[in-house]
Amino acid sequence: MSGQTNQKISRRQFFFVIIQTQIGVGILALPFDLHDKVKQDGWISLLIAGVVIQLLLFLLWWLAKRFPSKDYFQIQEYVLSRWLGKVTSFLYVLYFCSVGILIVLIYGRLISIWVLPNTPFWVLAFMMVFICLYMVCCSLLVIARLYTMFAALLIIMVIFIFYSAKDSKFMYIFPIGEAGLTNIIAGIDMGILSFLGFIVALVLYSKTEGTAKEKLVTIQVAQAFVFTFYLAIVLVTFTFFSTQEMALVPEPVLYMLKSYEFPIVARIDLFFISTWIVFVATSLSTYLLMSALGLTNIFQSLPTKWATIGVAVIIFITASYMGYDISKLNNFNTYVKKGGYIFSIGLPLMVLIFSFFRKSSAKEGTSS
Amino acid sequence: MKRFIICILCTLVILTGCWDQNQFKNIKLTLTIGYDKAEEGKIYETVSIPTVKGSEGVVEETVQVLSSDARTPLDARDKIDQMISQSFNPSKVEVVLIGEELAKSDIYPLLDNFYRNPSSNLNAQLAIVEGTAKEAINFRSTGDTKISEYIGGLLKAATSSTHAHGHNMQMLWGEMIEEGEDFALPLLKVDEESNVIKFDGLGLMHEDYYTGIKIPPEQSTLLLLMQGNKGNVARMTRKVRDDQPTPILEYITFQVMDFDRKLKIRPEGDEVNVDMTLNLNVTVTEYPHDHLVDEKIIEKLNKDLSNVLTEEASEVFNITKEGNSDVFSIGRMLKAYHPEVWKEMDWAEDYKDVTFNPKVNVTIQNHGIIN
Repeated sequence: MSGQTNQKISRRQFFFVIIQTQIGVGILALPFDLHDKVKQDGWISLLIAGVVIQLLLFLLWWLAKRFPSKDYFQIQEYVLSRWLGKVTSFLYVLYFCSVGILIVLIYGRLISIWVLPNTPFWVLAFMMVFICLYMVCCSLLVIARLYTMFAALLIIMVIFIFYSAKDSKFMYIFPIGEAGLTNIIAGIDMGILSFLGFIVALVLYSKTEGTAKEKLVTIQVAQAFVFTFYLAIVLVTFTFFSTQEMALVPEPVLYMLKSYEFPIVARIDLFFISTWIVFVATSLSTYLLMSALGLTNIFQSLPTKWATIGVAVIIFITASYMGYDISKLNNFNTYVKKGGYIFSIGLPLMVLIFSFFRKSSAKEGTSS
Repeated sequence: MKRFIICILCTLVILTGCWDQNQFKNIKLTLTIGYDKAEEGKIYETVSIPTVKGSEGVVEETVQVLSSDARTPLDARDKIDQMISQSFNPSKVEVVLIGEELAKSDIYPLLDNFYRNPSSNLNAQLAIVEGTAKEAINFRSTGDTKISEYIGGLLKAATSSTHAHGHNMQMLWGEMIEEGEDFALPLLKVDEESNVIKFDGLGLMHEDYYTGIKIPPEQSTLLLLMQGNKGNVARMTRKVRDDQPTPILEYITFQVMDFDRKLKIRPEGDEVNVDMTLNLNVTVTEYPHDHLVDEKIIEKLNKDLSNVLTEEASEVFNITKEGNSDVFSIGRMLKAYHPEVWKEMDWAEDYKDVTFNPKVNVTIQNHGIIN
């Protein structure tokens, strides 16, 4: 990150950073998770969650707009006072690390189940963390460029998913509303969790070019894009699998692709996993980047390089410690999900409210 | 230091392949698996394993057929593994055959291992053999094709001629476990006399067992069209005339060019009415009487064929009722579009009481290159 830290990323890059962070380890299981809670009405929950997130992003943007030259950690320090701000920043670093660990755990588990049953966990974890470390050790600009380039892989995913749509039976999502309103509302939780990662929009806001309004449009469009992608996946899998069947396949997207055979590629599910790994890596890299950013904010003298390596090592060691243990993973998963609400929604909104008691730095002029 | 780290990393990357390599020389691929009923609740598994021997130029292929009885399919696989020099691998299975007797009890437990194992081929075809699966796999045709190619090709041809669905194992799974939805599996029969294996219609399934009721091959095309499926070619021969000097003149053969099926479900109180309209646009491919330009003749043929097929549609539906096999997914549609009616129903019993009103409209559009 040295040297070019001050160079800002363009709005297009900002767009891809957001979607690459959001689309990650969860897409394979998203339809199952929704179906688990809300049966065939899961897509309604997703729809509502999508709208809620748009509103939320507007609030986060409002917060960032008030302090256009500060990144999120600096805003916290400014609004919550220096020490309290540092404490919350540290909690954020912990949270980002935990998400990183969770990503590595889920990724490792999935690869083990689907592709490499005999490979030890630490090897898979090491390769993933190392690749991400390599990516993050450049400047933000380079990362953003990479993410933009990787977005081409989305096309492959979309093609695969729409190909399977040819065998879908629309009747499987009927009857609509069978789950009942309470279940649908409970399912929103699942939907919101799938969008977590939007916090990156707030953290990298100050490092993006453009006026506040332009950035808002970028953020909202990125969110809408991710939402459409998710909705397409959910609808295709919901209509491909029968209602009973859906309860049995934890990774419906892969399972769906497994039933096709092409002349050259016999197993397109493996093909899909390979592209999916790239999205896992980009998500993990963003969290690594944000953790390092937080750490350097707390310890001003710490070089970014060492902060990043430190975080990567922590993620690797903790993840390897948990390994394939499903009960540990589940426990950890619940905590991180709860943390998601606090750190992606609760705290930023609190900071927003407190910020009204502070003078907006926009009015102060460029202070930091 | 840097060089040291790089060295370690490089070796690591190379080493990772070692845990999960699965080399072709160490395994024997089986392409056909058959299950039969054995005594004491056991199953009998038969596999055919082709082995290619010989080096450059002269390649000799031998096929080994092995059987074993066991408790479960994977138990049988272990037992067969102990009979061969290498371990056998079912990840390229093309055809899974189930003997008639075994199919009459639940077949899902047989298939669980395919659905559960990530390396299995879910694109495999499933079929029931009248008689035993062992017989079919042991079958030696006069040609020297492999049994998997033979049966696989047979099923593929049946699919393209609109006699079978061609649904792979993945697609059947959904229909198997979803309530209010049943399916039909292709039936195969070993014909000792003429030394062939032949397609012998569709076996109606209820939940996950074979009901023993079948749709004969002549009617399977109509069943498939009624379900809204059409392969590449859908050809049917029906009787449209009486009192001809020779019986061959009584028949007409036509090919369905395109079709349109509408299925409407009307629940009225406790009763479920199903209205089906099937519009077929056909080309006459064989009709020795000629004169297919006369509008009157065509009109009459249209009418006669429509009547014949409408009657037959009722017949086909009654066969599915007999087997209590809801191959039209009427139950699932009822659940989807009339959930309140569905809740009152016990579909295992109530499918038999469905009233079916078919209407088949045939329109002759073409008659080949002669009149």
